[in-house]
Amino acid sequence: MASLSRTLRFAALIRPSAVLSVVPRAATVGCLHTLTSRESRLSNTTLLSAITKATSGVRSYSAKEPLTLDLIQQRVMLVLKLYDKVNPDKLAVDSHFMQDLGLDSLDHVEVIMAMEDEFGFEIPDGDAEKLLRPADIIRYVADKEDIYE
Amino acid sequence: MSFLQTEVICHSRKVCSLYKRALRNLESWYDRRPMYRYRAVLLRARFDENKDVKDLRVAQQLLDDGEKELFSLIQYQPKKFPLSPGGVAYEREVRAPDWVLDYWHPWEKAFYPDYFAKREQRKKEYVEWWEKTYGKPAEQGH
Repeated sequence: MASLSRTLRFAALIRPSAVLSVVPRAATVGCLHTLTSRESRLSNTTLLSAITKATSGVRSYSAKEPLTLDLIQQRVMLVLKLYDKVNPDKLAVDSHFMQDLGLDSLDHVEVIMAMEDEFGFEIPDGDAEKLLRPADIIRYVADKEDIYE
Repeated sequence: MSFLQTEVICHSRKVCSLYKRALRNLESWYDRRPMYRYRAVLLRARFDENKDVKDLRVAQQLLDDGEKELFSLIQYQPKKFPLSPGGVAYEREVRAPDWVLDYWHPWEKAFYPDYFAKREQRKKEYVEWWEKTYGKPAEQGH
């Protein structure tokens, strides 16, 4: 859920800066047409270089941060520890949700939804009912994201 | 359902599916997280009070009522994940299947000699593994 608000804030940040990037480039095109050739050759290089220096790095294609198996494991365990129906002392990578941690099937649904929100992709019901340990979830996410396949 | 039902889904799975869709619907309606969490806890209480119903006819009736209620309360612009069907990035990245590499021109393959040498070896090993697991394919007469 933190990642959701983070991505929303990120999207809010990206859009205004994308607008800013469009406007100066259009302005440079507009002013290039009005300047004479001699003046334009002198000024457009400095103007263009100034504009490109100011707006470089604005085009962000919303790539995800690079994941490793260790990072996935940390994130999964953190999400599970934050769940209030799970006892963090009993939680291990191999612990079964229903048998060891005493969770319900509806609790399992909530856990899978938390994992979907954390990693940003949907886990269909057919796959979700098989993910009964944190280790299974880590392996599933690593398979979907192609990490050390 | 408008499509052919190919598998029998047990009652508990249907309940879990309804619960998940109801929670996602709530998330679309209440986008602020504390509001959503409050409504989600109320929904969970509603599901929990009917948890121990043993009579399957009553349980099936409750499930049907739940489905109808969810259908009447669906949000008009549900929140979807980008890569799921109906999301913005669905089928945006098309990964070419593996057999396309076999159709490359030899001059193109010459750029990656090590990879294609290993690839032939891998194909042989795959066929051996397949035949060891599933047996040799039956001869198909034409």
